[in-house]
Amino acid sequence: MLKRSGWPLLSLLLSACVTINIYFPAAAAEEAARTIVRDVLKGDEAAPAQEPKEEQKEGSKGDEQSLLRRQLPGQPGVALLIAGHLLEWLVEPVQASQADININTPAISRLRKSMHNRQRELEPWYRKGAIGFNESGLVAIRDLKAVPLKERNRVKKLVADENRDRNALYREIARANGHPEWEEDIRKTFARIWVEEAPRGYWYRKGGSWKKK
Amino acid sequence: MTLHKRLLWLFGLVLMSLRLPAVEQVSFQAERVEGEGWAVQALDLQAGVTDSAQLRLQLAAEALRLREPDMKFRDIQLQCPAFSLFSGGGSRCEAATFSFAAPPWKTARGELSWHQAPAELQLRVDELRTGKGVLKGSLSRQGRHWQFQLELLKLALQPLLAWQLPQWEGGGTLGAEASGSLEEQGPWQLALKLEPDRLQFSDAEGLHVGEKLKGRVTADLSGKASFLRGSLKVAVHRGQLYFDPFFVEFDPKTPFSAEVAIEGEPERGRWKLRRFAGRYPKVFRFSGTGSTQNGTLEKLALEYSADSLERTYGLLLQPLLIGTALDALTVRGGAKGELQVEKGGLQRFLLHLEKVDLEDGQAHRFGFEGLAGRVIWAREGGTELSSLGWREGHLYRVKLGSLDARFLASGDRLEMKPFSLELLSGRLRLRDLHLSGLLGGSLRWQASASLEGVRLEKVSQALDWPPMQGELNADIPKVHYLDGRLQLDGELVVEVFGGRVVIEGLSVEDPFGVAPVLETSIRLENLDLAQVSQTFSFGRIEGSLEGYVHNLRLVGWELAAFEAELRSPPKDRRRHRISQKAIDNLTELGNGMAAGLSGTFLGMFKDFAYDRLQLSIRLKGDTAELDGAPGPKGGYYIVKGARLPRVDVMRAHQRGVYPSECQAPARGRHRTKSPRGLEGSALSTEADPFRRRCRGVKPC
Repeated sequence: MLKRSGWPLLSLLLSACVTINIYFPAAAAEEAARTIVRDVLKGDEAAPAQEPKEEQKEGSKGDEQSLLRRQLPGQPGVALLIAGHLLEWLVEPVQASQADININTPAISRLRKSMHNRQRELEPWYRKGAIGFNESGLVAIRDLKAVPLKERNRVKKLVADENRDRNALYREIARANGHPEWEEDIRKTFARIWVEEAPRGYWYRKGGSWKKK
Repeated sequence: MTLHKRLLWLFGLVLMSLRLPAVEQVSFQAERVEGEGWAVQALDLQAGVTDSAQLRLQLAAEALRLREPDMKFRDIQLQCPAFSLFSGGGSRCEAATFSFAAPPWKTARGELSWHQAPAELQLRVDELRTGKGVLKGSLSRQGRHWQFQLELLKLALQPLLAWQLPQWEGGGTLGAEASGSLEEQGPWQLALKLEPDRLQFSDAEGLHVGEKLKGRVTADLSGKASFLRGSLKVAVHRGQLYFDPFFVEFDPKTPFSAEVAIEGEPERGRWKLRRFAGRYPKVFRFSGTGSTQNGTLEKLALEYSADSLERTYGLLLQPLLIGTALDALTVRGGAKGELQVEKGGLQRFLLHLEKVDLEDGQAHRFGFEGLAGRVIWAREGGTELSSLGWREGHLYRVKLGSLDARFLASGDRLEMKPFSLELLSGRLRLRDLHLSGLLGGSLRWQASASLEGVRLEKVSQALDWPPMQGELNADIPKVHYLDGRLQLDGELVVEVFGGRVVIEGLSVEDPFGVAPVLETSIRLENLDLAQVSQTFSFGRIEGSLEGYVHNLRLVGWELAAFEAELRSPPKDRRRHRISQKAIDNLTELGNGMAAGLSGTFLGMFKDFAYDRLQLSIRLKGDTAELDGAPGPKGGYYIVKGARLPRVDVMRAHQRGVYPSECQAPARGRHRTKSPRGLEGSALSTEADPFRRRCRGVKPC
C-alpha cells in the first residue's frame, strides 16, 4: 500500500510545495487592494479603516487550501487521504502566512496617507472627466479641455505625484511581502480594483478607449 | 483675357447697342461666361440711361468662380448709377452698391467707386459690411505703380477660423490697418497692423489654447525681386495662453512684447533673423540673431536674462520638470546667459547665476542659498571651466557647508575637479566625479569620495537620533548613480563607542522620490557597551559588543527589514556588568514586560555580572523574530548571568514572532504598558489611523 501510494504522495508533497511558492495570492492581493483603494477614494470622508487582516487570512487560506483539495480527488488509497490531511495540517500555517498580503509597513502607510490626502484635490477632476484610471493602475489625463488653462499644470503635477505614489505603492507591496516579482501582478490587481471601486461618474480606460462608470 | 477685361468687353457690346436710336435699355444674359482662371454663371447685365442722361449699369450673377486663389462668390449684385465708358478704353463709376456671398461670410455688402483707364485705376471701397465687421479701403494704379490702403474694424473671426482652420475652435474680433505699394516688376512695401480682441482659439486636443487675448501685431515688409526684408512686432496685453505645457496669463501692466527683423529669399527658403528680442517685464528678456533654411533653424545666437527666477521658473521651467524632483522649487534671484544653436542642435550654453536661493518646496528635501557661478557647456571641444558654488545648503536635514566647485562640461560628459565641502563639522571630499548622459539617455555619474572627521554628534542631530559621540571617517573608492539608484562601493567606517561600525554596500534607490529605498549592511566591531548604554539611556552595561545588521532596508527613511545579531565577543577583555535598569529593559524587549527587580531582594544590588549578551532580531514585513543564545528547553538567553547573584534574561520557549510595530524599544517610538505576563502583553502604538493597532502579542 505504502509502495503503491509512495509516488503519488511524493508528487503531492512536491506539488504542494510548488503551489505555495509560485502562485500569486490573488484573493489576498485583491482584498488588500480593495482596502487601500477604498481608503484612498474616500478622501476626506473618513480616516482609513483598519486592515481586515483576519478576513484576508481566511479568504486566502481557503483559496490556497482549495488548491490542495483540488488535487486530492481521484488519488488512490486511504493512506494518501490521511497523508493529504496530515500535509494540509502541516502546511496550513505556512500557507496562511504566504497567502496573506501585508500592507502594514511604514512605507506603505506613508504612501497611502499621501494618496488619501491628494484624493480631495483629484476628485473634482475625476468627476469632470479630465482624468481617469488607466489599464496600468495609474491615473491618466483624459480630456485636458475640461481643465481651465490656469489649472492645467497643477492637475498635471497632481497626476504625476499620484502616479509616483502608485508606482511606489505597487513596488513596496511586492517587496514588503518578499516577492519583488509580484509587482506586475499587484499592479494588475490594483488596476482592476480602482475601476471596480470607482464611484459613478468616474472615467476609466479599457482596451484603449475611455468609458464612464 | 482677365475677368475685368472680359466684362468690359461685354459692357462695350451692350453700350454699342445703346447708341442705336430709341434704345434706352439693353440687357444681356448668358448662362456661362468663362475665361482663363475664372467663370461666371447666370450672368445678367443691364444698362440704361437715367433721366439725368447718366448711364446706369446693373450686373447680377449667380456665381463667380476664381481658380487662383480658389474662391467662389455667389449672389453677386452690382449697381452703378453713374457709369462712364471711355472711348480710349476704361470706365468710371461713382457710388456703386454691391453685395455678394463668399465663404466664410453669408453676405457682404457695401459701396465702391472706380475710375479705370489704360494704366490707371482708382478703386475705393467706402464700406464693406459683414456682420459687425466693416472694411474700408482704396486701390490705385498710376502706370506701373500700385498703391493700396485698407482698414478693418471688428471683423468676427469665428467664420474665418471655421473656414480656413476647421479643426480649430475660436472667436473674437479683429481690427486691422494695412497699406502698401508696389512697382510692377519692381520693389514693394507693406505695412500691417492687426489688433485682435477677445481672441479665443483651441485645437481639437486643447493643447494650444488662447482665451480673451488682446494684443497687437505690426509688420513692415518690403521686397524686391525674390528678396524680402522687414520687421514684425507682437505685443500681448491681456488674456491667457496655453501652449502645452506652458501657460501664461498676461497683465496689461506688464505686457509681453517681442520683435524680429528679418530678411530672406522666400523662394529659396532662406531667412536671416537680423535681430530678435522679447521682453516680459520683471520676468525675463531675450535677444539674438539667427538664420533658417527650409524651416530648419540653421544658426541662432541668443542672450537671455531672468530678472525674476521665481516667475521664470513657474512659467518656463516647472512645466517641463513635472514628474521630477525639481517640479516644486521655490527659487529666488536672477540669472542670465547665452545659447548658441547650429545645424539644428544646441552647440553652446552659458548660465550665469548670482545670489540665487533654491528650496524644494514639496518636502524640503534639498535647498541651497547663495547659489552663484558660471556654467558653460559646449557640444564639442569645450575647454572653458565652469564654476558653481553656494554659501550653504542642506540635503534633507543634513546641513552642507559652502561649496566652490570647478568642472568641465563638454558633449555628453561633465568632469568635476576635486572639491570638498564642510559636512557635519567634518569634510566631504569628492574626486574623479564624472557625469554622463547630458545629451539624453540615462543620467549617470560616478566618483570616489572620502569623509573626514564627520562628527557623530551632528549626525545625531540631523537624523534626530540620540546624541552620539565619535567621528565618521571613510574612504569610498567608488560611488555611482544610474537609473535612479545611488550605490556606494567600499566601506564607511565609523569610529564610535570605542570601536568601529562598518557600513557596507550602501545603496539608495530613488533618493528624492516619495519612498526612497535605502539598503545596506552594518558590522559592529568591539563597541564599548558602557558608552553605548550611556548614549541610549538603556541602562548601564559594561562589556564589549559585536555583531551585524544584514539586509537593512529603509523605505521612506523608515525601517522595513533587517536581520541583526548583537552579542558579546567570545574572549571579551572588558568587565561584564549589567545594571538593574538594563536588565529590566532587556526583559521588556524579550517578553513585553519589565522584570521589576527593584521589588525583590535583588534590588539591593546596583548591577550584576554576566557571562554573555546575545540578541538576534529579524524584521520582515510586519513581523519581528527574536532569538538569543541557546538556552535550555528550546528557549534562549538574552543575558546569560555569571556568578552570584546570578540573573539570566531568557525566554523559556521557542523564538518569538511579533508584529513589527510592537518592537517598541527597537524602534524607540512606542512604549509598553499594561504588562500581563510572559505569555502575552498588550502593547500600544501611536495613534496613526494608517497603522494597525497592535493586538495581544503571542509567541509563535
